[in-house]
Amino acid sequence: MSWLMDWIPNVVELADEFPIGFWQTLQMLLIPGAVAFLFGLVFGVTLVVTRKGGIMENRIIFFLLDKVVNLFRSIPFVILMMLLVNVTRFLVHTTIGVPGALPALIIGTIPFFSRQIESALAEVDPGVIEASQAMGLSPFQIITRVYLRESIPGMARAVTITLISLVGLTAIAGAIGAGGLGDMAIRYGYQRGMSDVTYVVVVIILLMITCIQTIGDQIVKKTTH
Amino acid sequence: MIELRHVSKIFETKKLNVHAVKDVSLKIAAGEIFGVIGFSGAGKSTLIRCINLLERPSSGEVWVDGKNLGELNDRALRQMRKKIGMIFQHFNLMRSRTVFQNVAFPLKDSGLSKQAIEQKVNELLALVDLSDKRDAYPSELSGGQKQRVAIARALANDPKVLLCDEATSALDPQTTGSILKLLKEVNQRLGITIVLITHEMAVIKEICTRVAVMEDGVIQEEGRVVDIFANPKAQVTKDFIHTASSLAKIYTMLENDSPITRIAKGQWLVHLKYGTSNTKEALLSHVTREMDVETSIIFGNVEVIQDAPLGDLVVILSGQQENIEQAIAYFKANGVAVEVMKS
Repeated sequence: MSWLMDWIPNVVELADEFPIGFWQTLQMLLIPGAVAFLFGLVFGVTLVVTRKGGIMENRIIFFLLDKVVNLFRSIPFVILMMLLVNVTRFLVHTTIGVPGALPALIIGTIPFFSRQIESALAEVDPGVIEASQAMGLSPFQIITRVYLRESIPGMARAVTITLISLVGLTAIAGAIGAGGLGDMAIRYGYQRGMSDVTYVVVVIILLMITCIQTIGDQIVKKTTH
Repeated sequence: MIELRHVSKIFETKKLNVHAVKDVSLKIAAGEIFGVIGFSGAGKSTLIRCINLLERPSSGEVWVDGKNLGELNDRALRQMRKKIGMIFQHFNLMRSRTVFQNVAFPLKDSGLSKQAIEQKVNELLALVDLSDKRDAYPSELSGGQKQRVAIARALANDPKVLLCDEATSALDPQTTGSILKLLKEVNQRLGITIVLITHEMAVIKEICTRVAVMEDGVIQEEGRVVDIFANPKAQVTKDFIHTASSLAKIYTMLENDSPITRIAKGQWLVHLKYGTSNTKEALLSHVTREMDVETSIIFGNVEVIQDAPLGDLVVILSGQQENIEQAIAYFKANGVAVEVMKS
């Protein structure tokens, strides 16, 4: 153990905090990921079916949604968190800790997720959509049986990319006291000069991202025919 | 079975309006194989999509099986579409589903039991000769096999009509032949009315009973394939028939003054066209024997369209001028069309 003390003294000192930080990061990844996925799915599908030439073409809905998504995508996450302070306080009665970070993470991820899912769905061969219409499927059946089914590999890719970018956002959320690994790197590594904490955090995050990427790639591979 | 009444379709864009189909009226009887031929951009793709309202006509009526499709509500239209199968140039199979699942796909809401669906799909796969590919994914199939799956899928709901949108255009000639044979079989065994669009005269010749020739959104001429081939009226039809036969080459050679088409004094180069009624007569030898006109054939071609022969001969006639004229009159009297190419 002594060589660990020599190499990464602060990490050994803070050993108890790492599992907590990891668990917090995981929560900030999975909860907003799941919620944003549901919204992203609805918005992504809506964007694809309402756009020009879509199966439920609707200029007004498309225009509004398209602009709202663009608007929220263009707000930097740090600023979004500050903008949402009052909303967050209203929703979860706190602005710190994991709960305090969730609203911003969710709202920050939905637009990105929506675009990712939109482009995954847009990859579905328009000919297949036309064939389904010719077979007498209703628009809703085309969404559930054709769009969502045919784009599974594309959506697996979208989830992978979004989760990875969410990892980045959780670290930013750490900057305003959300907890998690990013928070540890900032509080100990940066503010108190414990660089070894930062290094270990980097390694853990790297492993997380590798895991996400590997699982994502496997799903894409398994579902692509 | 299908009737189009003054159907027009205009695509409106910001800059200009494209008049893809202009006032087309057509009647297609049950059990027919009806072909629409045209060069790309002629409006035939839009026309076939008007038959199942994938494109809604800007004006005019579409009647299928006694129903005016334009008057149906969405639900009734979808019901109707189940009775109108459609296949496409690029097959449009679902990549994420196996051959079996693709064919079973349209049967999802049919109310059939799992076993009934299984049996039905197996029958369809046997019909298109793909029983052994049941569990393959489309990416593992050749173009011809994909189109067979698409045909099986289009037949799943026992349609009355099958629309074929350039169904063989992405296939090589041999595969095209086998797909056409299958379509003919489907037509004869199941009595399904087939409407197909193509830019290949060979396809029309092979399986269609009647044909409409389309150009610039307008049906230029329409009739039995044999009649259209024997006696094309519109220029576009003539162009298509030329592309389908090597006769066009003779005309090119004539223009280029090729040695084969050079004639001496007292010789005439003529193009004889004959149909069913006069193929058995020994016209050429009669001319030689009775009128002292020598004949030498430099080109001959016989098309067999719907089991009726249709012949073209390019012949050099040599002899006295009045004898040659007499011979030509004799040909005409026997129902052979004569075109003097050079004299």
